[in-house]
Amino acid sequence: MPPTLPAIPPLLSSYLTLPATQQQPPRLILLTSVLGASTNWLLLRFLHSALASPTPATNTKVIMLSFLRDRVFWVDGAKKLGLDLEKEARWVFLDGLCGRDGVAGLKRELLGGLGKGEGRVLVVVDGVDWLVASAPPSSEAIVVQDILDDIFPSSASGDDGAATTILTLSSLPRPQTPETPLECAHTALLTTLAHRADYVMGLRLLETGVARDCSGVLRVTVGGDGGVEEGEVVYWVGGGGEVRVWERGSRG
Amino acid sequence: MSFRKRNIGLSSPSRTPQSPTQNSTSSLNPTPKPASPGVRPSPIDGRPTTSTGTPSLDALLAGHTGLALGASLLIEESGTTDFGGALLRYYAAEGVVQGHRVHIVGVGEGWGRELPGLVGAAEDEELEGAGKRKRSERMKIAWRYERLGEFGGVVGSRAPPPPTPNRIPLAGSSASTTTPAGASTSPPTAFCHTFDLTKRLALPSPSPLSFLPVAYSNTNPQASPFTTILQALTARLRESPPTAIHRIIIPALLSPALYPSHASQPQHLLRFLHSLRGLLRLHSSRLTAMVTLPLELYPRYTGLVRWIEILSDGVLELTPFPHLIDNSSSTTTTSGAAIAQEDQPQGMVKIHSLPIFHEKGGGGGALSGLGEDLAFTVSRRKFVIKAFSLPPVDGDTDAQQGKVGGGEEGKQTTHCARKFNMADDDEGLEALAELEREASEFNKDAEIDRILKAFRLDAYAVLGLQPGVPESDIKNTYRKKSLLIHPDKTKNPRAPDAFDRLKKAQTELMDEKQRTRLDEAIADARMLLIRERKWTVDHPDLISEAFAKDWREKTKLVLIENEHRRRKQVKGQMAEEGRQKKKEDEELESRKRKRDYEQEWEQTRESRINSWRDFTKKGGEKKKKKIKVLG
Repeated sequence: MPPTLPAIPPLLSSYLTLPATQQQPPRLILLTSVLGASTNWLLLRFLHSALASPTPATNTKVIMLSFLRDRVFWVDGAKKLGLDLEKEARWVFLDGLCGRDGVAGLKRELLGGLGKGEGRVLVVVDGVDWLVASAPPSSEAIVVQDILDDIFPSSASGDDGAATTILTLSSLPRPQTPETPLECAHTALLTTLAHRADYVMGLRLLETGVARDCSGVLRVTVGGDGGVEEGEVVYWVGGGGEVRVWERGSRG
Repeated sequence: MSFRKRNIGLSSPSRTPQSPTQNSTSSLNPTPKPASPGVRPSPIDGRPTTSTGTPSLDALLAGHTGLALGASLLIEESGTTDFGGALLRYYAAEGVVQGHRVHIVGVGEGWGRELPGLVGAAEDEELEGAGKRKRSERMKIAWRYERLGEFGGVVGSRAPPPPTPNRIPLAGSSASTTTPAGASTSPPTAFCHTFDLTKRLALPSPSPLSFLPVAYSNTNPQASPFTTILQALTARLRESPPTAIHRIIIPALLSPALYPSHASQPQHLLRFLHSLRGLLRLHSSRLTAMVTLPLELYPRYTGLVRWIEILSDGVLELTPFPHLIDNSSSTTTTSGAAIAQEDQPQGMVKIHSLPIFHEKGGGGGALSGLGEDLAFTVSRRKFVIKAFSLPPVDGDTDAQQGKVGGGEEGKQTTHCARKFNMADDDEGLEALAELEREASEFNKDAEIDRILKAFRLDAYAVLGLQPGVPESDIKNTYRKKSLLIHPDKTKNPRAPDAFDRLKKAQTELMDEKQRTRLDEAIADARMLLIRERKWTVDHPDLISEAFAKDWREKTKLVLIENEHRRRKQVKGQMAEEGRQKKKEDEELESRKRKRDYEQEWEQTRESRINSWRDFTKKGGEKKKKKIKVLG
């Protein structure tokens, strides 16, 4: 592999670019994964776009809550993209995996971080579906609704506190026919979020099986006036974290 | 007996989340410190790895040639067998031998007494036999992983040491990866040992095993049964010296024999696994975990199992063949048959995700085994995972010639057909010219790769067609593909093999009887899945892609079953033929004996008559004499 692959694949740049000014409405972006096609590489590129783009937006602050991955993982991944999160003061990481805070504590921290920044704020929640998976039955819907309302007031309200938000979650094997409470809650969350999102970037594996030179398929579905184009591309993630993206049929 | 500390409050982790933990990639520029026993750097990125105790499993872990510290492995198993338990025991035994702390969750201490015994290097050498046999065996076993397996090596069982011990080029991995010299230039400490399931491992004293029982609370029956386990694990990791390596083993998670029913509630189980993942990350330089999960009660398509998979780093699924479970008692026939049985795969292995590899995004590095049809074989001394293939049955000419369905055509004919198709067809030549213009060598290689990787019992898969396509499509596809990958038109050494498989698949599909049989198997697989899931035939998920995938997998199993049945039939038929022949021979023999006897009777008539005459003459005199005496 040539080591000169750009950190942000050109085909994805329009999706990865975040609203540049305060005037542009904030976005809700949803990244979905399946087993074997994780959203991590994509999320790292969002971080890169927010914190290390060639024209650094003056004071973008990123508050990131990760339920499924530890801090070291994100720092290492970003380092390979040339982004030193360790020294990055604008990156606030809340550890939902090894940390000791419960959901309530994390929420408080998240909202606290949201309040005091000036300029743009990007909220990232990795594995937001963990909230429903870990909740005792019948309470999950409330928790999720709470969090969503706090982090991302519906775009209609035009609230000042609104921030562009990126959420990642996984889709279950049988999305059409949920049966257990866990499956129902999960599906409800996914559907609600998908309806609210400006666009959904769904990752999945190739239908034809495993290929050496292709890791999976990325589909972008746009809701409302997402401001981006719908489309489907194929991607490959290298061992060193480099990513190649191309359209089906045209080998990159 | 070891003391078990209970009821220790959940303490603050030694490091706050904000301070970066000593991890994986920080070993890319390693500080010189003595390597822990049983730990070596990954040839891909230098992160520390440890052995699972099963060399062929180590070789499958995306080129890291071991389980990365800080990662967990989930082994799922359908049916009621416990092959996964064997993998856990190897993992535990390897930990004991390496001096690691082994924590076993949910089972009694009896589990720890049944660890497989260590095979000494000398004994191993002797048993493995002369180099000749060894080499021939190595040719059979997982040749494609062999170079990976040689990294560091198994004690005694890999004879030729790698020529450059501190930098071994690995297929698919960047050769420039830094391999800290300290670790691999000290060969005396083996990374993976050989164990014997029929022997028992002698445990050192004090025992490195500790058992963490599932807690039942009478006062609060709905309390999480995992709380005390987690507290104990946290405490033990905190109290042990920072250089001690730990292994967590969770056999048969959620098995009703071990866990109360409310253990499967997501808020208990998933929170436990989430905390376990947290522990693994916090102690990412000294902890690994391996879990087995029986799928019978909790199938893979449920949300709960998906979450268990999400919370694990690597997911493998074992699917034992039903026919082996049914006849396990009747397989003890002659010794010859038993030996043949040992080579036979006992089930399929499916890799769903791999540690590190899929977390990054899934690509690059060594893809060993991913997406291939893998099978496992458990014998007395090893658990081997290798590419699936059925050894030919003696005298079963169909299988030996590689022909699945049977028929009059042999390999010879296939080659002739190849020539014939080429020269004869004007249209073909035209198409060929056109194809050659657009099809680069790359496409040919990709197609050859695809054909060889396709499940060979499924002719549709080999041709890359959907089941039920019209005959014209089969002809068309075959023509295109055979022209594309024709061995005369590409230098790829695997082209003849791929071409033969393609031809075979086409022959099978063009034979109405065989095609019907295949279609029936595919339909059977669908019905089996529907029945297993208690669905109706108009269930909405039947058209989903996930179902299509499961269907393909099930089809493989059904076809394997059919193939086994066919082979058994052939065997039975041959035995029957043998008996018939013997009977005929015996009849022939007896008839011959009778004829010979009659002939002899005729020939010796003269002498018999003469001797009778002589006798009567003599006899008369004697009689008279006798009478005289008496009288």
